[in-house]
Amino acid sequence: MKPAIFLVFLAGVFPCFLKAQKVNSEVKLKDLAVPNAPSFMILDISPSLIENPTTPKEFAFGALQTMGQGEGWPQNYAMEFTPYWWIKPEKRDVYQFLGLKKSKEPVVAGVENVSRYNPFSGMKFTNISMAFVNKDLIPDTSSLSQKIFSIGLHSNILKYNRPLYANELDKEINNWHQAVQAELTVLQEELNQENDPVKRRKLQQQQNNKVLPVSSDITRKINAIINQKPLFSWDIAAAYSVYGINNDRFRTGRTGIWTTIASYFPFGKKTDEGNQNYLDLLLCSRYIHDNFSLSQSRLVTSNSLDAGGKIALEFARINIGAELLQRFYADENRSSKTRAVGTISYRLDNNLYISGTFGKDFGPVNKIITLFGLNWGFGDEKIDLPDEAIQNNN
Amino acid sequence: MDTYKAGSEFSQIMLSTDINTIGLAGSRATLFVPGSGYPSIAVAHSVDATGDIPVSPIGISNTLKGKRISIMSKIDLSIIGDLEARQKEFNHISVSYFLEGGAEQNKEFTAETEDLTHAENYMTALIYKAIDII
Repeated sequence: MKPAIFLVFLAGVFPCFLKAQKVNSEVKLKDLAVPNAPSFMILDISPSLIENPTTPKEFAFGALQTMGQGEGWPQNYAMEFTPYWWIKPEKRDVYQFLGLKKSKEPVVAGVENVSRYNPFSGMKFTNISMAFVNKDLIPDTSSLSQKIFSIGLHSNILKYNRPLYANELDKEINNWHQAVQAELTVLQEELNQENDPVKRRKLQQQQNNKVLPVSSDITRKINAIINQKPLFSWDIAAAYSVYGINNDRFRTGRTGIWTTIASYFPFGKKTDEGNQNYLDLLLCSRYIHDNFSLSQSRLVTSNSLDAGGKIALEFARINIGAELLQRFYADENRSSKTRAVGTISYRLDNNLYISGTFGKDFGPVNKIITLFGLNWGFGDEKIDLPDEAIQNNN
Repeated sequence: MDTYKAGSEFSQIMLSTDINTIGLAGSRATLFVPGSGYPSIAVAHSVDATGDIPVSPIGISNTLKGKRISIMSKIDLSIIGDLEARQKEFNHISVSYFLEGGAEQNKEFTAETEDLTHAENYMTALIYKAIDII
């Protein structure tokens, strides 16, 4: 599809979001997106119930609305952060960051030093999310919204990359290091010959903005390797929510834990930016304990298990997928429900996505959901907008 | 300008650096006589993309007097993510330089704010540290 079509669509969708969020006129584009975080997913306010575990998310901070006037409670406020970015441990280096374990064996002439990828290295990027929303999540006769607080965490437990990933990455990193040594020979000599500290600093600043083609090309290759999707990935997430029944009484609402196993199979030609096309296969399971569930017109405590999967085809900019989830209840009187949706997302820019979900959602009746969202991603990931349709129907 | 007293004894002066960053890093150390116009001489360099220079001999103390040692590092932050993340990581960069073997024994220097510069888009950072041997 042509970008122009999406931009036209975007122009139509934007005013709705602006109205819904009541944000000030200086809102940034990325502030319109809500992180696809466990604390939001537990409340079913995310377009895709299955996360796409790729690279670990970086720090993300989303403030959709400020405190409610006179209510002392944020209207809709999401925060997601990765402690790794906040702490400043000693002995950090690029190998540790990328999960590369260098062999302790000395490099022998003619024999490449062996590097290994630490499959657990994604755990250090475990992120924590919190959300404050005002929403009617209690399916009783009252339509009053509750003050809802949820907290969640998401972690990549295990990740296996394709064979030779670590060695290819290490090789390019070594190439970069060698290229930089050559560059420094020139840059450093320029600075050494400048005796005036003020002029030297100015010169150093100018050197920063020079594009040095050799190391820049190698950096592009390194980024292409890093951005390759793993062959196998296992993520877990958990979330807990409390509902403000009235101003002085809070009760546990939903508690959930879910896991996603994903495999990404590259296909098609490999470009300079690495593999761009993937067949995605994801399996998902989610357990939810809900203290406010509706069964035969009564509020009951329910335990449910969602199980299902997603299959998707990813091309350079477009991702088309189908998601099927079955919800089973511990209460034998309740029949299972199905969510069957199609998803499509299009990358408008490096980190900007527009996504859509169409199909049948969980619910007492066959609800048809059609929604579009604007996603702002950090790195090559996607984060999603709140699903107004699902919010309203829950 | 930072200084290090080499002393008059016949002893080997050693240099090492420790860069704390998750970006790709490379470092190089040179010796030269400031203002002489003569080209500098490379005396040590990092061995991998940690950017750390292992403990390396840079010369005999009484021959180093009056010379300046400069250590320059380049850090590539493009692998880290978006501008916000790169900016954050730039602010987390710290570098320690160690000289030992001279009259001042072990002395640690650190990269100060004025030693660090970054590209406008925070894709790269350069660190230049100069220490006069006296």
